[in-house]
Amino acid sequence: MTEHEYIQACQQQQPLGQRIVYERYAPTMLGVCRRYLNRTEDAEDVLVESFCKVFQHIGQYTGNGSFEGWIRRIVVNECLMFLRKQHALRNAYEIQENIDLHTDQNIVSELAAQDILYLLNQLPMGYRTVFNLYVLEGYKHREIAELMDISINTSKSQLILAKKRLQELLQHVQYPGAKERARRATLD
Amino acid sequence: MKNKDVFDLFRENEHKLAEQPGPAVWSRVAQRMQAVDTEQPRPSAHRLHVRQVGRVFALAAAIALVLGLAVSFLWVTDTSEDSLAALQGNVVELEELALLPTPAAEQVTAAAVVPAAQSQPARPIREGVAGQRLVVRTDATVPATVPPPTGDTARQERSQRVGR
Repeated sequence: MTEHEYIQACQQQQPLGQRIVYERYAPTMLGVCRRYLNRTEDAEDVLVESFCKVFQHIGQYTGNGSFEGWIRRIVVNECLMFLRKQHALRNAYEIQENIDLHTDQNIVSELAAQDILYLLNQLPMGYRTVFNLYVLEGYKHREIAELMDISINTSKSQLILAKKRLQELLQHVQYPGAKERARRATLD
Repeated sequence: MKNKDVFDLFRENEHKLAEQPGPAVWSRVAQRMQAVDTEQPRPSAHRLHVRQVGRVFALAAAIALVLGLAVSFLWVTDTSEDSLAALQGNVVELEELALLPTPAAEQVTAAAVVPAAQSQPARPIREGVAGQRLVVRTDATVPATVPPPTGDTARQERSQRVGR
């Protein structure tokens, strides 16, 4: 079944088409949810909510742009809505001092899934959300400011702080992936 | 080991987070969709179109209703101004306003009430002259010999006042 065919099947509310769309995109979208949310149970709740929205509003997908991108936008919005309900996006603030990030280069070149989740879990929710939206979804600071109801400067500040914190973590903290690699290196 | 920017490091490895959700997740989605289907049968494209057209007609009808009410209200207030006095059987006439000296209250009343014999026919209001006011006499001041004005005469008076 081609993408056009299963989208059409979903638009006609056919369960088979819905199942195919779910099977195809659910793993990626669960990964997106896990980047935003600490708990796997919350990520799965948001995933359920997101796919229900996708199937209910699939008539609004006009075919312009990627279908995966359209689903991803819904998933990201659902994650933000979940965080807003939990009041997790409060306490975002702007920094005044200049932080030089150009000299600090990361010492690793690869991260495992568990490393990414571990590192993201160490960030405050505001840093984490801005980091996700800017770095991994490709939103602009203006869009992030609108989505999170913060100022553009706050968004920029949160991103700088997120980067600084991640660099520190990567250099000094023995995150799970680093431990595993060190163990393998000693065995070899 | 090659140095990399933190942002690039995450961008390149982000796809590793993809993970197959448990079977319970699909069951929940399917249940929710089934519940939605049984609660609200999806309207067909034709029904959606009809609903949109109906919404436009409803809006147009609402606007027409509001306009109609406004016009009829203005019309009713315009005609009632003429016929109010006629309906009540009172005399509409002009009374001169004057600065009165400081007499007793009885004298004020006596000066204000025009005797029946001296009652003059209504005169047109002269625009720009502030020494007159339009008064409606109650039954107590209307002489028995003066017939109540008809709707026609009241309309004529009004026409004279507004100069038509």
